[in-house]
Amino acid sequence: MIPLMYGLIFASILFVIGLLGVMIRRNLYFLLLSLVIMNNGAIAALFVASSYWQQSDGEVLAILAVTAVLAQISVGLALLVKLIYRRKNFNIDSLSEMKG
Amino acid sequence: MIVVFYIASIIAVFASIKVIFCRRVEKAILYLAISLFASALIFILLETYISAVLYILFFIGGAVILFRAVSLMLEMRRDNVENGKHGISPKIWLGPLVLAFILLVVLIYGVVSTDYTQFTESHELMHQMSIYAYVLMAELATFLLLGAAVISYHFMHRMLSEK
Repeated sequence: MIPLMYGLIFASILFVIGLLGVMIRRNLYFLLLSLVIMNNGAIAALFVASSYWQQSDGEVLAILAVTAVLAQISVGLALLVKLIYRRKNFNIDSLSEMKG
Repeated sequence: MIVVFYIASIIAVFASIKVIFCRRVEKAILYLAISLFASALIFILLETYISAVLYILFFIGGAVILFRAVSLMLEMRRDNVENGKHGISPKIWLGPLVLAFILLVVLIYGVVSTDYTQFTESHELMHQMSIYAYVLMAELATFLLLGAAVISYHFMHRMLSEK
């Protein structure tokens, strides 16, 4: 049986790596990849807590979180395609020039 | 069993670090898949088999295929935003690295210093969600996915028709 502390430390490390990726990358595509890693850390925490208490509520919440991540990815990639066709580059900073 | 957990978590962490510092799109997607599969191995070690299988099917299949399809459609090969020869310059990642390290230290301190003995008794009030609540949550998740699919189709349709 894996201790709860080790699983939570693993989830924290994954979350922080994803947060670092969100902060340092300017390409929208890699920013979405980093967001997936962040959400993977949160899902890992849900799984570990569900396994610790031997109740299946955490697994249901984890599957709900997976669905939310899939919705987020599809909307984000659609916005990426829109950014490509309008601006012809992947830089997220170019969106700050957008007016009304 | 704990050794397998260590190996899988080290693989997941290193693959995640490679994802955020990688500049080629295909390598980044492959490293992301490796990281997610290592996480799925940890979930199987935690004896949550059905949810782990659902995780592999939905998350790894859905996320990796969506990213790969978009990179094929836009013909992305390299990251054109970061122009440095040896990857991203330290001037960009040094400040966020320090902030993220401080956050990691605080998180690990919070996890380690928690007294886990008071969590062992199960709270009966927390387990009152019935099967109907789960059916309702599944319907909500399906509505969320349907909304996301409609938004994606709307964007793609307008883009492709303008072109």
